[in-house]
Amino acid sequence: MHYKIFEPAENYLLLEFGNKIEEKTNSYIIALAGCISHEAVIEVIPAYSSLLLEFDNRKISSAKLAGYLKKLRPVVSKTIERTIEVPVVYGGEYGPDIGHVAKVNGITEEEVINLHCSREYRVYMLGFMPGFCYLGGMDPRIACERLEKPRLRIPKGSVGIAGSQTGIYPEESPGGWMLIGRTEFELYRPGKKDPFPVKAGDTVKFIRIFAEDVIYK
Amino acid sequence: MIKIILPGILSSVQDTGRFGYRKFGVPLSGAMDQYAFRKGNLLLGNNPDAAAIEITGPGFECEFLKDIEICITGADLGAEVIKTGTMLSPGNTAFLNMGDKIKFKQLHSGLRAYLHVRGGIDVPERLGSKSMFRGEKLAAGDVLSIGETESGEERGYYQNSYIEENGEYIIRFRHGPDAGLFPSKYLKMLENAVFTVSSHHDRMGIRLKHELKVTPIVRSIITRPVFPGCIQLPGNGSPIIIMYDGQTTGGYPVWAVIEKENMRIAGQLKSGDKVKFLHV
Repeated sequence: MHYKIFEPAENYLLLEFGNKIEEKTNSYIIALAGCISHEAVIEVIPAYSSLLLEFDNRKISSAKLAGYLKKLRPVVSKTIERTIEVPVVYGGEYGPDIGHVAKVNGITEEEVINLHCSREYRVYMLGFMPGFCYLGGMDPRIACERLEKPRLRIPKGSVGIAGSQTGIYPEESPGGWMLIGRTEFELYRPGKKDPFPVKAGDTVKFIRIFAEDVIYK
Repeated sequence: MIKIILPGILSSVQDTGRFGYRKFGVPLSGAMDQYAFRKGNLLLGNNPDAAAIEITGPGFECEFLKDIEICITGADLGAEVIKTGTMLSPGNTAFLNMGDKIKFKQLHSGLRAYLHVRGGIDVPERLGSKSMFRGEKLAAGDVLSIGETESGEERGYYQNSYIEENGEYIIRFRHGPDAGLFPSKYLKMLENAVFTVSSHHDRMGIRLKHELKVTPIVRSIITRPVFPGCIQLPGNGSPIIIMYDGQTTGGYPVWAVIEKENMRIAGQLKSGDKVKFLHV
């Protein structure tokens, strides 16, 4: 797959695969990131349509490293590897903005929930804060602009909508997303063997549960 | 062990940073002035990545609970031994006795100083680094362990002459991946402009102000990874330098990237400092 290569710093290379968000491109980038194995490479960060790589420029020149990357032949797996189910309590105190999302789209709250649960969401990348997943594939019928004035405190696990994106807040933080629900699924598990259970390339599915299920489980 | 008596504005344990987790959204963290940090370890014969205390501005005070060799690097924050009044100037090592207290009295140059101890600060590693992150900071009463003394010899030489007393800096940069989105006339204006460090600066990022009247409208970019030294240019035209606790990804165009060797200057910038950028 074709990409432009930048050297934004003496110890970084940036590979740009165009200015579109496409599953095919993103799958290739994740596969490429997975097969980079070079002693001079410090860190590889795949994103929507780019890949950033930090390297030790005392061990290898940027030109040599670019040559190494060109020779790699990543195999993009055609099947979805992992689907992760995220249980969500929708509406009420857990999703105070669900009524607003319904209103601006001219549908009912139930329809917002059904549309949100009916899709599978691709994890294109992680970033922004530890464990935060950039999810693609939300139904445009529940799109909603952010709050004009961001909230100072959004609880951990909040599920929200911002424009045509949906996402989960991995930890308490300020933010302007429209909140439609909350999950107990933890995206960042400090001290655990696998602190980040969701990885780029995974598929996330939201499962509707009710507050009582959480309390009495 | 070291007991924190007063943490000052912000002090934290830092090392070379947390590598390998940026793909999960975990910031790099680590010392804001990596040059001063590394030199301090060299001077004490520590491992180059032994953790130190990063002290922001004056006001920090601590007590040593054992005999210890220390070294201060980075900003000159007027450090002295309380009992004797002995000055501890950046780049010099000193032997202190159990019970000695030191304080950082006054800002003379720069913003961040590093307090190194022989053996390094020993706190548990999280995600492969001793650096504090996610807003953690040292508080009065905290007691920190000190690592095993290593056999390394003191070596090297350190001068903090890159830190200006009057806060006027020239920072070398190369164009970032999005420089091409801006009209070349505007790029020239940025290169000739004098920037002032605003009050919005911390371990995440540094917001700069300038007098330029025009702001070109450029399309936003697809969110992609950023790293310390990237200078973003959001729609309001005020550049933001991404620093070590900054987000791992960003959607604002990256106009420029600070040369690695000049990042030590960025780590010492404080409100009101003047900055000119020089294209390499």
